[in-house]
Amino acid sequence: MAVEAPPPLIAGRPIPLVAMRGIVKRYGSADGSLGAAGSTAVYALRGIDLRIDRGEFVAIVGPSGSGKSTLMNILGCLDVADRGVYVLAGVDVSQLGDDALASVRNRFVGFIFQQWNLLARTSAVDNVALPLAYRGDRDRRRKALVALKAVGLAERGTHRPNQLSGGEQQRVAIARALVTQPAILLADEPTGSLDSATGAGIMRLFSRLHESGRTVIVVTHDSHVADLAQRQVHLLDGQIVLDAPTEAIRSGRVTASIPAARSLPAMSRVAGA
Amino acid sequence: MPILETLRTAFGATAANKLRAALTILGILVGVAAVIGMVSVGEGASAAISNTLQGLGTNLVLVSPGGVSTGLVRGAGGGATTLTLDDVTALQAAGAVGDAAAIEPELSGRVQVVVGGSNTNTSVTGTTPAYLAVRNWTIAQGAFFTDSDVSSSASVAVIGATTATNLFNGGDPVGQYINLNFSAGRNAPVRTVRLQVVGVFRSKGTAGGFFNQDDQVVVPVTTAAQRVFGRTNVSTIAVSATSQDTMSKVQLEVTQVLLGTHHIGDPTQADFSVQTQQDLLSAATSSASTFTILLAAIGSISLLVGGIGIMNIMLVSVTERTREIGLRKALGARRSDILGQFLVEAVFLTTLGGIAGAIVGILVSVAIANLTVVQATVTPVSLLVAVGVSAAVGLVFGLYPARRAARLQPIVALRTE
Repeated sequence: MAVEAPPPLIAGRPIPLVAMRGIVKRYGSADGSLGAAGSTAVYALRGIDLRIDRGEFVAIVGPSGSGKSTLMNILGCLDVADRGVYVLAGVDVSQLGDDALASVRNRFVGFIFQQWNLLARTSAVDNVALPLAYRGDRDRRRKALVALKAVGLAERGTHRPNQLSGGEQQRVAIARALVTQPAILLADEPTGSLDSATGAGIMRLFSRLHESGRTVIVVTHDSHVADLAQRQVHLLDGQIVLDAPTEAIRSGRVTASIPAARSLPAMSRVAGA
Repeated sequence: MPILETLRTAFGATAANKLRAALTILGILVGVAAVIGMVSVGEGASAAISNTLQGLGTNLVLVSPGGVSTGLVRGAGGGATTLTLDDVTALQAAGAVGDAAAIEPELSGRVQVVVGGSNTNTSVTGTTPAYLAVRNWTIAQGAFFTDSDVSSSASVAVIGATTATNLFNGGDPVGQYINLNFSAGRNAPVRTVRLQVVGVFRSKGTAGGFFNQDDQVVVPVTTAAQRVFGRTNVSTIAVSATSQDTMSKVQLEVTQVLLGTHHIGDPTQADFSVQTQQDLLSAATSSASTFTILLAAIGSISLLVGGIGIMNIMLVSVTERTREIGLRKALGARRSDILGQFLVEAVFLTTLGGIAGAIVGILVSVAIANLTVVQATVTPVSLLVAVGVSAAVGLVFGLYPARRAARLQPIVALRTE
């Protein structure tokens, strides 16, 4: 499906990796299943237009309740938008069913979670090989070892998660995200559960992955983490309030369009939606 | 997801909760063992009844008083009194029943038999020497009484092996005397009939069955009619056909003769019934299989309870592993992958339970057969059915929890702590 491109930040690229247009996500429904009185719904995303090109390193920044987790879920095809169009790597995923979304996630998205989400009682190499198992890949063990080597854990393949440090577990999780050669690496607060030194190490790993040509999207509320990215997308109340290169933000050349909005309630209740 | 990987995951999940898995397996084990044990008792009883009935005689056609009944052999004391010794005479008349090898009346009842300090309550049957051939008996000690004993109403008796043991406790009974004691009422004087033992039957070895053929006293029919019971109506007329093929012909001829002597035109109004050994066997087999089905049903209830246990544990497992399910879905697991994972786990548990239950069931059957009088026979079919059914129990009771797991939304599952 042809998508009308949002204002391009990096001009001259015909096919964006991520193209979102008018994405709306609402919790609760118009018949009031969430709200108490009649027709109340909570809007988590209120019309997001976003374009991300291959090879970018983007931080999605916002306070809790800004809708950044919802945006990440939709970006990663864990959830679908109520309205709007989302084309990921040329595939329109707006209308796909559960199983189709599962194979899109398997093919295009590498997830890195705040809590790592490794399978206990399962060795690092088997954890890394898991996404390949759902493809029926017979060569998954070797590929998993290669991915572990890429994050510097080649010698730890037989270790179980409880035998690894937090930073090592997060590296295993990154290896698991890399093993499928996904179109985007999607990290949700990847340093949130780590001390700052280990967290910085993880962020350097992301920078290296970016330099080697990967597309990395990091969702965070931490501006130090966001500053390591090449581009920042700031969210507030379900809308993009700032989308600019990190250099421009740090030099003060651009500021958020409605900075006063930070004092507003996290999610707005819209009556009669 | 490859099946090997799914099996490995199921094994890992089971190994991670060993006690829980063991208790769940125990539930299935008890159910399967109960089914196998119960069915083996039913099958054993069925086999015992068949053996007993086949040992009753050779190509046997039995005439009983009263109308056709669907039950088994009539009780000795009760029932109608429509068959008499005259009917026996009519059947024995030359040419009346062409294919009968032998015919003998049986005038029987239960009597208290006393020898010195020993006494036993046993069956007393008045008959003729044809009894030996018709009922397939041989004599171990002494001899059977003769036709002249019958015509002279001699005070003689032939006793069964069990009766001999009960009364004489290993001593030689031949030549000894036994007393049949009768009491007309609580305060009436005891009437005694004194008989000399002339022979002992060779045991048919069915001790421990449903009725013991080796526990009996056999006397001349005239002695029974005149001195023991004081009546001429018989409990049974037993006819031995010349071969298995002529049994139904004999059945027909006997019916014709007796309808004539009883002056009955409509066979459905007959006041007697004629049954072949096969009739008895099929009636007995059908009641035995009903018995087996009943026992299997009782066993199945415990298997059902075990199945509910599986469902319960699988639901707990799905709840505990919600986050894992979310992760697997995020990494690309389809509904069928998750469904398969939990179904394989449930079937794995129940099949283990089924195999263990089959082993325990066999042990229980062997124990029953060796430690009690009840026979128990394990058939290979019941083993296969038990293991197959337990796998099916896993499928059926694992399906609902597995579907719940498969339908979980990844974001909801990942958000769960």
